[in-house]
Amino acid sequence: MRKILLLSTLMINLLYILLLSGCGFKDIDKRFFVVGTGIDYSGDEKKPYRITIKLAVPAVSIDPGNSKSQVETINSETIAEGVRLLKAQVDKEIDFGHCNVYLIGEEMANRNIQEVVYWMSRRRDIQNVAALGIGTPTAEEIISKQPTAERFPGNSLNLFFSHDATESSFTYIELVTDLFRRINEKGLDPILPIVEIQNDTTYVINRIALLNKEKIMLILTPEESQLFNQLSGQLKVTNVYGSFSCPPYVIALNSIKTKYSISNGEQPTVKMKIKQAVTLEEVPISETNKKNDKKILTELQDAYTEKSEQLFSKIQAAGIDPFGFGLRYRATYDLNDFDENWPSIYEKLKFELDTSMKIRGSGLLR
Amino acid sequence: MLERLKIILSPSEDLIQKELTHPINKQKIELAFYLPLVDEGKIHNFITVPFSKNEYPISSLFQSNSNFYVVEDPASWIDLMLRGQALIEHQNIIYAFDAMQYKYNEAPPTQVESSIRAPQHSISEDPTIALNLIRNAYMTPELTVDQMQVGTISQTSLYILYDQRKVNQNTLKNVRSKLDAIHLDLINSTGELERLLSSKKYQLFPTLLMTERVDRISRALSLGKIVLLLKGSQYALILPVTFFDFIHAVEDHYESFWMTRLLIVVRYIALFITVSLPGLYIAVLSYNPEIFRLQLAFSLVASRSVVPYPSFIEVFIMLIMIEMLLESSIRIPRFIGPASTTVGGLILGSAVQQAGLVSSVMIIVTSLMAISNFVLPVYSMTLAVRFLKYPIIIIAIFFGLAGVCVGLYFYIVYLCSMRSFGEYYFRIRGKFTPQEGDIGQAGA
Amino acid sequence: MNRYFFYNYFIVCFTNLMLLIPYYLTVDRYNGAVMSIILSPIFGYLFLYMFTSSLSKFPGKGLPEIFALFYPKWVVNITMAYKAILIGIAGAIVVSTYAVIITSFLNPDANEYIMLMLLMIICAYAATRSTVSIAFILEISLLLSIPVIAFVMYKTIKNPLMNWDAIHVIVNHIGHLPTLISFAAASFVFTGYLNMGLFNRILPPNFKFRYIWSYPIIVFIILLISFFVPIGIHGTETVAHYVFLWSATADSTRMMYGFIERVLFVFLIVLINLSLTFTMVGWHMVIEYIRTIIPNNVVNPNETKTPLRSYIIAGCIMVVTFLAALKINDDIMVKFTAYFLIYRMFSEMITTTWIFILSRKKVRKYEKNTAS
Repeated sequence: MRKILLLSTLMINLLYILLLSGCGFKDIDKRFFVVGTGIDYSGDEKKPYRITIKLAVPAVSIDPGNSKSQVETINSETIAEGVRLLKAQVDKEIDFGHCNVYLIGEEMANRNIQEVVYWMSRRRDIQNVAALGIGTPTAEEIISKQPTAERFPGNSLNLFFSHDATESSFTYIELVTDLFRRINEKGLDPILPIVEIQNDTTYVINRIALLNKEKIMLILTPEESQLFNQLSGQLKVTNVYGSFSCPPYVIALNSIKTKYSISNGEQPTVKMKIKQAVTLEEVPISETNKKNDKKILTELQDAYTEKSEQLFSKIQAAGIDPFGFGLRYRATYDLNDFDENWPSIYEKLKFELDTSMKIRGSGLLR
Repeated sequence: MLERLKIILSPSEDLIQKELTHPINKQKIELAFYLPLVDEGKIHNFITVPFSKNEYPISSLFQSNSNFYVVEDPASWIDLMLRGQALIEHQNIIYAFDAMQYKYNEAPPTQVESSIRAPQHSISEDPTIALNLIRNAYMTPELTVDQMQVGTISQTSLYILYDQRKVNQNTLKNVRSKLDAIHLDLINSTGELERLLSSKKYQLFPTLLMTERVDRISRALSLGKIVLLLKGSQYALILPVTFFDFIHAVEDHYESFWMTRLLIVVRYIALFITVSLPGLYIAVLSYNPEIFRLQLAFSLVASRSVVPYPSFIEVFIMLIMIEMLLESSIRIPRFIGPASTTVGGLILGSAVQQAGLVSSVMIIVTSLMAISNFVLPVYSMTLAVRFLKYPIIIIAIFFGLAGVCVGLYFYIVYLCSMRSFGEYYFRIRGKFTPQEGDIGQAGA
Repeated sequence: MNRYFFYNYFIVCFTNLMLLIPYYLTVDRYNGAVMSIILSPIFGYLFLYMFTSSLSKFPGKGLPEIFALFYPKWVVNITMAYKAILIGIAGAIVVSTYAVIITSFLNPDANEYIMLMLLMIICAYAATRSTVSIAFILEISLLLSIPVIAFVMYKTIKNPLMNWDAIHVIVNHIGHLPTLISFAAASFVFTGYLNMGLFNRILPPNFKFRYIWSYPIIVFIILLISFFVPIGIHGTETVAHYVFLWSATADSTRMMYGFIERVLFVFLIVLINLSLTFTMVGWHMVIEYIRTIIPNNVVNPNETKTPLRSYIIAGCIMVVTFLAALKINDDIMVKFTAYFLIYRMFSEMITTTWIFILSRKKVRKYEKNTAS
């Protein structure tokens, strides 16, 4: 009798639960996977956000150039509302779970990116490892672009931002976690790569935009971007270090180690040691003998130091700190009110760089 | 001799100790042998018949026939008896008579627990043959055989085998009392006995191991377990058992070390797959498609786009089909067995997919699940596990991935709280020092 | 059999480190969290030593039996009811927090309360098993989880986003005196020994606690990792933005070649396992403690059949937890947990010292008996 009573109460409980639940159930074919999201400034004060999403239309056969996708765009007051309104435009549930690429329009990035990043960090279904970039001229244009040789929707842009396919020393990969950190951190400023369309067929990501906490302050050229990537240690992940050209020489970098410390005092100085192992890639034919290796090397080292110093000063002049010198300063010295005191310190910060290169080899030729 | 034997040997049902006295000349012989190990015909022809006919003095028979020889050292008695010799005492002289027989050839080949290089014979439905095989495999005087009758009408003989020294007396008492409590008219198979002996009615996992392998039985005996043999059944019951016994195949002791270790791991993976795969399919498909890569999600969508039902209906269609296939292949006569497999597996499978009733990924899921189910070496566990996926499916329908995890957690809890005849069913034994003692002893 | 003590100690550590503790520590990261982290293992070891050494004077006895040796029945009853409530609250906090995590990460559309109900049913079922079974479940679930936790931790430490400067900044704040809440939070992870108050019942008679010095050291290392690694990944400021810090940290790591690409899911699955086990152990202790209050109780750590009273107590815990979860929103929950942690710390300090004194008393009594 007891057992029956117990069992029946249990069963009733279970049934009750099962009846009430079951709302989250949504089959995969009733979902639309977002494979790219772009957020632009619409130009309308009332509805400032222009949201573009690229939805994958899965096909049975996966062949190059066979991918199909659907692009939806909407203007809205807030991002969250925009996404909700977008649901009304499509026939299936929108799922951000697989979206790895989020682009912010250049106009948006010139105004304020904070809202966007906060929204992304707050949403549970947006991966923290999703990549971010700035779309030029607009994110909408980049997102709605359909590269001709794409195997399945959104894959091409996705692969640009992942480490497993293309590994370029020009591309800086920024993840949601990192951007969110940089927006809030004292002494570390946000960076975003810039995505453009080339020849109307494919993407190019070879420039970096440096931001203060809110908007773009400086855009680096491709050469500077590569140098930035080399110095910031971003490339360590992929073991692709890129090259450095100082006509008539071009060297390939095999490894870079940067180490720096900040000295305090009257004249705060960043003492940075850059150690590189290099391979000569391009040397004028007249100079292909071992003798003046040393000469070439010193020349290259000086050139690299100079270029780097130029880059640092340029960034310093813009008043931003993407390298995290401020954070290092906080870690080394006690600074009472960081927000107040740091800008003046950063302004007069001097850079002392020391590049030392070691030749690993001269390529296949002697 | 018999008095001394009684001291050395534990009493056992199959140990025959007789004192024969001739009615006319009052001659006496004492006779002792293990019944299953000897050829009874030989004993009749050479000992009891000549003795009772008394055609000529029995002692001269013992001395003249080369099959009889004098045993002087009492220490070798047991050894001789275990080798199928009968011991005879006549006028204070002890003779041994070789009446040994092996019944390997009469034992049927293994059918359910087949293996490649392990012994191929199974125990027989004839208990004497079975006992002969077991006694030959487990040659120690500590092996005790008790006999009792079960079933008020069938009066089926039941043999309880155990190692006198190693068996846990509490468990033995427990089993005896349970067997005594059985009141049933007919008992025909060990399976019936298994269900009667299991402690709870609604048990998910078997607490007795049903086996037909002699090597498994002898190993179990050496670990202090109890073996039940039923007359007329080709299977023996081993108890108490742990969960790990069911994952263990006899070949693990016979084949290359590393490969067998790997196979054990494979079996656990298979166990996980067969229990959780259909549930995971539903959970991933309907709740968390972001868990796997984008490509996989796309191929899932593509394969499912023709299917009109929600994922769980699809799963149920396939599962019911596969259960029916398995069931039918047991029931139908052996000659047309392959036909049902062909019809079911090949034609129906591909046709169902082409017709758009189920997705092609579901076919893979189902077959993977069915294959991994049969990786498990013991049939009763295979059957038990076959059921386990259904609750997981139900919970996955309502709670997705979290539900699957909670369901699997429930099974772990259930397993850990199970006991097989008072012994822990599912636990990691680990290093165990007797001085320190085991947990749970203080309160017991 | 020391490993059963190990499991009891570490289930408390792991579950809370992954769920609650980093939240309270990161709030005070500039004022005193670091100092609390450094001080807590010392106190943790002290009380661990006191508790285990007193328990070894009472082999095979749980807290209720020990108290019953010295005090009248009603004192024991009140103490046990009080202890049961404390433990029950800890379990309730963990299970309801996890229900929130599931609904925010795994099943965003599901009803939080139904999720909670499901988790509670399984916890209550598990908690009504016998003490020995609980020890086995604990063992299996920890053995399944520890490698995965180690893997997740390794992956996050090796994350290229890791910034050591941020960690350095926080370490520089070592000079601040610990705040009450950060110290309470840090010391909570060292209190796994309290489970032995019940599990001492199943330990064999001549059991000796061994290597107990190593336990606080290991937990200390894990505590360091679980506090500093999120700071290294999210920076000194952003850490305070996340509610479920470790979920966000796990999500910041990608397994490029893994079968499951997002570490978050691996982490969540392990977390289900851990929080269910933690709650199960906690509620089992509640059930056993309350049962000692009810007359005609039979203490049997290996009982074959669960008595009805266990089910009734488990049902009551479920109902109370559920009603509390209905009433309390997230904000109050966070505050309540903070107060609970502080209160619990003092309470457990007193109990441990009390038991310690009782055990010395017993020794003295014994010495007096042998002398006379």
